[in-house]
Amino acid sequence: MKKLVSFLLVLLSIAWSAQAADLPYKTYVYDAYKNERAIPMFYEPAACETLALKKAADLCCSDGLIYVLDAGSDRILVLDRDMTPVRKLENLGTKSASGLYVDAQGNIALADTGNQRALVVDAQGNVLLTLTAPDSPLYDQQTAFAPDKVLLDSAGNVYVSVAGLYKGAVVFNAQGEFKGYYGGNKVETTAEVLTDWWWKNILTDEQRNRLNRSLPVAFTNFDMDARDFVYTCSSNIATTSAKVRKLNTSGISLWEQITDREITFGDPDTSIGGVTTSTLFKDNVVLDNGFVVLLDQSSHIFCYDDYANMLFGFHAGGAQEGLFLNPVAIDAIGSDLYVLDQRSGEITRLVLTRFGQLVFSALELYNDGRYLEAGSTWQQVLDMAGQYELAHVGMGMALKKSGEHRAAMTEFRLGNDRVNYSSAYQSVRIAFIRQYGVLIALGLAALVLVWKLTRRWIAPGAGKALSPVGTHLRMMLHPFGGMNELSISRKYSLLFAGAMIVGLIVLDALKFELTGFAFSAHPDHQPYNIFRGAVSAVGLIFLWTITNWGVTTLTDGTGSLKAVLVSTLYAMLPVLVTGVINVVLSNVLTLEEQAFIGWIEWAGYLWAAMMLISAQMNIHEFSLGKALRCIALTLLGMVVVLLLLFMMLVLVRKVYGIFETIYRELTIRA
Amino acid sequence: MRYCWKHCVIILLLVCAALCGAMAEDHAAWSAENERYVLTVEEKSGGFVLTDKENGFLWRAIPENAEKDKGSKGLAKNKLCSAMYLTAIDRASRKPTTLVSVKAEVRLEYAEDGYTAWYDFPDKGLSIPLTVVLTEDGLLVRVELADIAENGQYLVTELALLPSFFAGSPGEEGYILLPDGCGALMYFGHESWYYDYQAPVYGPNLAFNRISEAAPQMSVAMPILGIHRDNAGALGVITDGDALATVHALPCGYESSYDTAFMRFTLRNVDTQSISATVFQTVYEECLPDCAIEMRYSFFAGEYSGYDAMAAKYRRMLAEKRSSEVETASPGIVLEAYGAVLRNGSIAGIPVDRIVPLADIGQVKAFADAIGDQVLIRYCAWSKDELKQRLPAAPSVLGRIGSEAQMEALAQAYPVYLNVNPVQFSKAGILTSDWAIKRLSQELATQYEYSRATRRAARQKGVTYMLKPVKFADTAAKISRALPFSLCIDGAGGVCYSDFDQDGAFNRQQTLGAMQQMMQTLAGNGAMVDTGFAYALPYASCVVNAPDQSSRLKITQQTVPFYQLALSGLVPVTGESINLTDDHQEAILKAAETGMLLKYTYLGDAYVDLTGTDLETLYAVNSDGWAEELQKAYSRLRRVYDATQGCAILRHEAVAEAVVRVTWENGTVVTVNYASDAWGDVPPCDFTVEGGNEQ
Repeated sequence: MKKLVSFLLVLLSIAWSAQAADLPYKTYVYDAYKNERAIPMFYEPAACETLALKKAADLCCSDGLIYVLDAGSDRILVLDRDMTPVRKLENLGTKSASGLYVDAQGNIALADTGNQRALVVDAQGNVLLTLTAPDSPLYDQQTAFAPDKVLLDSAGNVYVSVAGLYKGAVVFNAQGEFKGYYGGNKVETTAEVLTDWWWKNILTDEQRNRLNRSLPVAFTNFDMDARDFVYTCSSNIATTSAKVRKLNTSGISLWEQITDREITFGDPDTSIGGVTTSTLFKDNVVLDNGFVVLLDQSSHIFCYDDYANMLFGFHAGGAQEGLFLNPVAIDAIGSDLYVLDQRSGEITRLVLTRFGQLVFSALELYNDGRYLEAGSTWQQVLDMAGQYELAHVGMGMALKKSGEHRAAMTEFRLGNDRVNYSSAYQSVRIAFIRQYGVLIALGLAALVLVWKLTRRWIAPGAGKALSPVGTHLRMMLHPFGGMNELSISRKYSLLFAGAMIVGLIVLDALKFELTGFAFSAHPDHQPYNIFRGAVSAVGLIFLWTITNWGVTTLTDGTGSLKAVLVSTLYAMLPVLVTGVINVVLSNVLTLEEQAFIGWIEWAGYLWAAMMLISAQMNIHEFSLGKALRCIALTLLGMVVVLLLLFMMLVLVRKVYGIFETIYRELTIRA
Repeated sequence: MRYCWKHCVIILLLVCAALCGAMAEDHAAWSAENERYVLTVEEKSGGFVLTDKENGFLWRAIPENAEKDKGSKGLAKNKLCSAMYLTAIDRASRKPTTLVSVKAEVRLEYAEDGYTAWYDFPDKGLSIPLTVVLTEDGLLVRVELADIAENGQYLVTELALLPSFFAGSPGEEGYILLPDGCGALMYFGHESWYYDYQAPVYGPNLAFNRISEAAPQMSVAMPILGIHRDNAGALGVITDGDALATVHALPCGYESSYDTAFMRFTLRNVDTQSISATVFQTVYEECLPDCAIEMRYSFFAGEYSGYDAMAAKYRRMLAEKRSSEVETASPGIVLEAYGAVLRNGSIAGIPVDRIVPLADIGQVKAFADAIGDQVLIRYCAWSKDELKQRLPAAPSVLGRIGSEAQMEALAQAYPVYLNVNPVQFSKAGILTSDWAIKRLSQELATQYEYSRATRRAARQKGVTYMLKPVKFADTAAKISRALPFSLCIDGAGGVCYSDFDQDGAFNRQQTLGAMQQMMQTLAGNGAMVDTGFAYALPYASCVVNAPDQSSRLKITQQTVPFYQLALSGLVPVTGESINLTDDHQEAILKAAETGMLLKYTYLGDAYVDLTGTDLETLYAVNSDGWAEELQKAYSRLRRVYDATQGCAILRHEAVAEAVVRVTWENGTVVTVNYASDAWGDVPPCDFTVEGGNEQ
C-alpha cells in the first residue's frame, strides 16, 4: 500500500486550504415541489488514501475498522478509521467477489460471485459457512446462484442478494439452512404491465406464455441498521418512492406507509435529446442515527433522514478532492463517510461541515420528539441557510410546542409543511373562537334581526336590482325546467356567456391566489399566469362547444353553436358557485376537515353534469339516452381533436425544421 | 601484448570522448551572457540551457535525460523532448494533428542577446519561430504570430510553449506553482495516472456553447507558473497573449515520469456547427490573433526562492502597470449590501418581474454606523437596470431603496461603490443580436446557470448574454456619465471571451484590451473590482470576491495564498463574505494571515425568503448580532492592518502543523495558529503580531 495523497496532513499544516467552501461540492436539496434549492456544503473531504488495489469491489465499516474487498487480488484489507493498514486477509479462495459485509462480532460475509457461493469467515479468515444454491423447490433453479451482495443480521442470518433473482434476498439461517426470501420489490404498475395484463385476459394459454412475465426489479444493494432494519436500494425502478426501501424484519416496507407527502429518492428524471436519465442507486449506508446515505451511478451522494426527508445531495464526480471517477461503495464510521473509488483505488473520508453537524444534531433531537430543545439548533441552521425547509419545519415544531402557533404557522409555511401548518392553524382557530365566538354569534344574530326588520323596505329594491342574476340562479336551481325555458325562449345571451367566461377565469385566479395555504398546490411565490388560467378554464369550454356542435349536427341535434355555448356555460354555474365557496372554506377549515371541500366540489361537478345533460336534451331535443350517447361522443371527439392538434403541431415543427435546415445549409455553405 | 591491447582500448575511448566533447561543444556553440546568467543554445532541438551564475543551477528547456524517460513513449515522449508542440488542423478534412518540434527541421538565427529557432514542418507547410532573449532578470521567450508561415493545407490551432521547461525530474524534491484559484502547489513525485489539469487563463471562453459543465473549478486569475527545487525557483509570467493561454499541468505517471506544467496557447478556436439535428461540421477561425505570445521567466536562488519570492516578483511586475492616479482603498470591512431582488410575479395574471426591496439606503447606513467608521460599502442591486440586467444602462437609484440624495449622503459618510456589470445582460437595445457575442457557428452565445444536480444548463432560470467588445466603449461612457459615484465593476474583471461575429470579430486578447479600456473609463481614480483577474488589477482600488481558495485538485497537495501575497501592499483584497463561510473564526484568521479585508453580505434587517431568486445562494440572511461581531473582528484584525499598512508580504511559511508565520517587508511578523492548541505564545485559533508599525 502506498500513501500517495494524505491531504489531511496538508489541511492541518496549512489551514489556508481548510476553510470549507462551496466549490466544488455544490450541495442542494429538493423542496416540496421538487425544485432544486442550493444549500451550504454538508460534507467535506478530510482525507484520501490511494491503495494498490487490483479491482476494488466493496467496502464495509465495522467496529471502527474499514474492510476493503480487493476482488482482483482475492484479499480483504483492513484499515483503521484514519485509513492506516491494520491487517489483511489473503487467499480467501474467492473469484470475482463483489460484496462484503462485516458484523459487530467481526464475522465477514462475502459474495463470492465467480464461485457461485456466499462465504462467512471469521476475523482470521477461517471459513464458517459456505452457502450455495438452495436445494429447495422454492428456489428457482433456472437462476444461477451468483451472489452480488451479502448481509449478516444480529441473529447470524445471512441475506444474499443474487443477481437476476427478483424475489428478494435469499435468507439462510446461522446453520446455513435456506429460510426463504426477504424484501423483494413489487411488480410496478406501469403502462406496459397494464397492457400485458389486458392482453393476458383475452389470449389463449399458449399465446399468454409467449408474453413476457411481469417481474419485479431486483434491488442492487442493501444495508442493515443496528435494529436489523434492512434498507434496500434499486436502480432500474420507475417508482421513485420505491427506489429506496426501509424494511422491518417481516419485510414490510415502512416508508411506503407514509402517505401525508410524496416520497422520492434521488434526482427527478431528466430527458435530454429524447434520452431519459434516472437516478440509479449503487450503494447505501445507514448511519448510527438512522439516516441513510446513498451513492448513485453518476457519482451523486444523497442523504435522507429516518422519515425519508431529503437532507442533501451533491454531485461528486470529478478530479478534485472529495470527488470521484467511479465510486463503487460507501460506508460510514459514526457520521464520517468512506467512499471507495474503483478506478483510482482511492478511499476518501468525508466529514460533516459545521452546517451538517448542526442539521444532524437538530434532526436527532427532532426525531426524538424534543422539539423545543431542537429549536435553538434549528435557528443556527437557519442563520446559515435561510431557505432550508426542514429547518423551518423544525423551528415551527419548536414554536408550536412553546405555544406560539401563529409564528409556527409562518415557519411551517416557509417549510412547505401543510399538515403541521394546518394543525397549528387549528390551535389558532380554537383560540380565536374561544375569544370571539360569542361576539361572532351575537353579530350574526344582530344581522338576522336587522334583515328581518328591514326586509320589507330593502327586499323589493334588491330583488329588482338582482333580478337578472336571479334568472340565471333560477336556472341553476331548476336545471331541467330552466333549460327547457331557455330552449323555448331561445334567449341565448352572449353577454351572460362573456360574463361566465370572465367568471371562470376569475375563479381560476381566486383559487390560485386565495386558496388557503393548507389546500393550495403551488409554491407560495409562484405568480398566477392568466394565460394558463384562460386556456384551462375557457379552452376546454370552447373545445367542448365546437365538438358537441359538430357531433350533434351529425346526430340531428337542433341546437345552434350559440345555444351549445350558452347552455354549456349555464351548466358551469354550479362549478363557479362551489368554487367560490371552497376558496372561502379553504381559509377556514383545516386539513382534517378537507372532506367538506371535496364533497362541495363533487356536488358542484355532479350538478354541472346534470345541467349539461339537461342542456343536451332540451336544446337538441334529445332523449336521455341519446343525450348521454352524444356527450360520450363529444368527449371522444375532444380527444380526437386534441390528438389532431398535437399531430399538426408536430408536423409544423417538422416542416419548420426542414426549412430551417435548408436555410442553414444555404447560409453556411454559401 | 595484453597491456598493449588495453592501452589501445583506453586511447580509443579517450579519442571517442574527445570527439564527443568536440561535438557537444559544436552543439552548444552559441551562448549569450550577462551579469547573472549564461544562455546556451542546443542547436539540435532549438532548446536552451540557462545557467544561473549565482548558484550554478542549470535551467533546461528540455530535461537532460528526457529521451531516456521510461515513463513515456510515442507522442508523449516527443512532447517531453520538444521546445514546443502544436496542433494543426487540416483545412479539407478539418481533422487535427499534433506536431512536435523534436521532429521539425530547426534553423537558428542569432542576435547579441538571444536567438530565434525556426521550426519547419515542410510536409505540413508550417514554420514557427521561437525567440529566446536573455534579460537582466532571466529570459524572455516570444513567438511572433505574424511570422508564422502557413503555406500548406494546415492551419495552426494551438501552440504549447516550452512544455518541459518546468519539469520536476523523477526523484527530485520540489513543487510546481499553479495559478489555480489563489494558487496551488503540485509537489513532485505524487504519481497520478488519472488526473491532469487544464484551465484557461481568465476562465473559459464564454463564446462557446456550454450546455454542461464539469465539476466546478476556480478560474485562473493570474497568467503565471512557478517551479521550485533545490533552493532554486523560477516564475514564468505571460506578458503578451495571456488571454489565449491555457495552463496545463501533468503529474508524473500521467504521460511521463516528470511532473510538468506549461502554457498552451489557442491561436485559432475550433467549434462544432450544427446544420441539422444530425449533421454537424467543424468550423474554425480563419486568422491568427494579431499579437505575439510572450513569456518572461525570472529565476530565484537560495533560501528565498519559493512561492513567496515569486509572489514578490510578480507584485513588482503588477506595480509597474499600475497608474499612480489609481487610489488604494483604506483597510476596513467591506459591507456588500443588496438593495433589492427580482422575483417572478404577476399583475392581473400577466407575468411580470416584481422588485422586492431588501436593504434600503437608510438600513445600510444604520448597519454601517453600528459596525464603526472603517466601512467600505459595495451596493449591489441598487438600480432597476442592474436588477434587470439591462444594457446600455444609465442607472439611477431605485426608488424603493431611497433617493439619489440619500445615496449621496451615504457616499459622504462612507466610501460607497455602486455595483455595475457592464458586460453581461439579459436585455439590450431592440435586437439582442446586435449586442450579444456570437459563437463560431454565428449563433448567439447564450449564458446559463448550471444545475447543481445535473451540472447541465438550467434554462428555466433564464438566459443572459455577453456584451460585444465593440460596444464596450459606448457602454462605459454612458454609465460613467450617468453616475457621479465610485463604481464596483462586476463581471468585467472576472471574464474573458471572444466574439466570433463575422461582422467584426474579436479574439480574447482583443477583448481583453477593450475590457481594460472600458475599466479605465469606468474606474477613474480607482474602482472596486469583483473577482480581480490580473488584467483588471491596474484599475482596482480594492478587489472583492478575490480567489481565496484553490480547486482542491487531486494533483495538487497544498493551497497557497499566492494571489493575496502578490497583491499585498498593492491592492486590498477580500474573499468570501464572512457570514457565508462555514467557520467565521477561520475567516478572521485567514484575513490576519495575509492582511485580507473582511467582507459581510447584508440583505436588510427583515427576513425575506430568497427561494427561487438570483440571490438564493446567499444562504445566510439573518443580520441579528452581526454588527457587534464584525466590530470585534475588526478590532482584532486592526493590529495587523495598522502594523502592515502599505507594506508587502516578504515571507510566508508554515512553521508547524496549522501554524503559519508571515513576515512583512517592514519587519512585522504575524503568526497565525489555526490549531486548537496553543503554539508557543500564540493562543489556539488566534494570531500574534510582532514588530513593524504596531502601536
